[in-house]
Amino acid sequence: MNPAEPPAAPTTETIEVLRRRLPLSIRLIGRSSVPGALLVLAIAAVFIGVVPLAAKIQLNSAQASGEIIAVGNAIGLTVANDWGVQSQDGRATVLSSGSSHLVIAPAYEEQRSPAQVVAAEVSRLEGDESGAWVVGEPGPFVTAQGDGGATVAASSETAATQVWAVAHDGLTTVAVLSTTIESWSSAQPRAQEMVDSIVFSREPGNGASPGVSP
Amino acid sequence: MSGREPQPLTVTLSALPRLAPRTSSFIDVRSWVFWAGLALTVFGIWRWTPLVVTSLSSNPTTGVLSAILWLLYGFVFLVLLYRLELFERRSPATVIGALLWGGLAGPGMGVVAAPAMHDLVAAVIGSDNPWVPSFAAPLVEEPLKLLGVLALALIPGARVRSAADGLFYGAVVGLGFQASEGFLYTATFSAESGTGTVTAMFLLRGIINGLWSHATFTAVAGAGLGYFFNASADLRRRITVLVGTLALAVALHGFFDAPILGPNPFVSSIVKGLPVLLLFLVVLRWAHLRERRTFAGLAAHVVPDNLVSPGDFTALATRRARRRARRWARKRGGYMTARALKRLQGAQLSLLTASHEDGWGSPRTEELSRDVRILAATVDRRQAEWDSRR
Repeated sequence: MNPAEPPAAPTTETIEVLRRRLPLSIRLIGRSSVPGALLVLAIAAVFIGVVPLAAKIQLNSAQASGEIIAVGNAIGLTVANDWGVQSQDGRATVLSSGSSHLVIAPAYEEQRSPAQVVAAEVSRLEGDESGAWVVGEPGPFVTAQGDGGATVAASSETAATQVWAVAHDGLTTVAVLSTTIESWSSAQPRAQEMVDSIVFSREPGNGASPGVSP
Repeated sequence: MSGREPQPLTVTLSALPRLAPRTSSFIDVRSWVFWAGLALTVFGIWRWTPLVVTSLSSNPTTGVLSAILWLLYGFVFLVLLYRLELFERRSPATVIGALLWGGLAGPGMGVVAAPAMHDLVAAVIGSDNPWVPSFAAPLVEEPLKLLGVLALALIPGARVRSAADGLFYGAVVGLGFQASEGFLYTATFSAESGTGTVTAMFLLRGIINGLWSHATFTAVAGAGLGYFFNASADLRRRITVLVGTLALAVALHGFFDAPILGPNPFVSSIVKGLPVLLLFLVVLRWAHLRERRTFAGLAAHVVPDNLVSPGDFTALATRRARRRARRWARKRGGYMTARALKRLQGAQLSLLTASHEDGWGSPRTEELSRDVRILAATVDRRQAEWDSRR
């Protein structure tokens, strides 16, 4: 633009077009910010209020929190909050909470230590062709009843899993948590709680080996 | 995409007197949107911090190593994003605000919403269905990240004034989200293991799968939001672009998480990542072309020629053209002339940006006009000194 010329004055027609087509970002200047703030809060409320509430209602229909269930003949455990029994048969008991599953095998006689059982699970995960797992290092843990065990956690881009093996008087049980990585922070503590609550009470069941996998 | 929007309108707007935003960044204590965003960020910190503290305290060595790696990752990519800016240097305070949303508010709300959405999707398509994460994660994460860009766009001081601005802030929010989430997962899964798991997790989430991840998805949606707030096209068209780009971001995220293309993470990442990257580059090109067209119009019709002429803009339009002009100045007038020209180019671009954002005649444009005059005189003086020495 020539410096001597001021910008061309808008015509009535231009002003009318501008009034109708003024970009929203300019129209917002000097206006009340309350509607915008309410919009932001409303969208946030959908995600941190409505969606969790809908999921909670969905879960409540299937949960069995606080219930003590028997897994095979020799062990029992306390179902955690928001979890329920999905299925139970001679090979495994499946507990679920939304997209998370905890599969527990009935106790069986096992010569290997929990650490060796978990090491076998690590090898299986590392060779698993269904996902690229980053497998952690196995570590020991003790249940609330004082039974020793070993555990290992692994994650892929979208999934996470943890395997526990607990031993008591020559009997061993294996539990496997399978969940999405986004649900890990809510599912893992509950699953740990349930594994910690495992109580060996009777003789081993039919001696079936565990058929659990993530 | 922008062909139907009449250019003179955008340019005419910059020539008309109008109200300017009352702040120079998103920090506007008189805006309720600012306080709503702050409240949601505090909520995010409240939900996110316990997880971070647990990860750090379980194993401080791996926790700190994870934090260092992901902070470096975020820093490197933030520098790259700054390099992608074609014309303007956005307010550092607003960039930090976008990072805080992506790193704290988004993941903090995600902690509540993501598991719930996974449960709902699992109830619909079956909890054993391997597609659960590819539906559930994008349906929560993409809107929550874009909400940060929306909050910025609703605060005039943040100056989200083009599709390119929306794209840039979307990418920053996405980068913050990726670094924060990546840190948490790395620290959590390595807490019981060791530094080997930290490296493996960082490679998987940051390098193999991370190069075309959250920042790319949110940049695409952010460009649509920037268009919605700044185009003068009719409402239906703007809503179509906004909803379309958000849907595209959700679809890209879902495609990236989909359990297809086999177990090899390298092959899977490249085959899935290339289309994502190509689509991002298309959106980036579209946003840059719109921005360049606006700036060319400003140079031609609004800003006086003695400050930025259309000819000057030809040498400012691309990074390559600017470099070429500086090389020519160096050859013809020496290093000092080229350096003075670099500063002049920066001031001219800032003047065009200020004309676009606040309108011609605003205090910012008056101040920057003085700068351009002084720097133009400096270039002439350096050239004269060089000529007199030869």
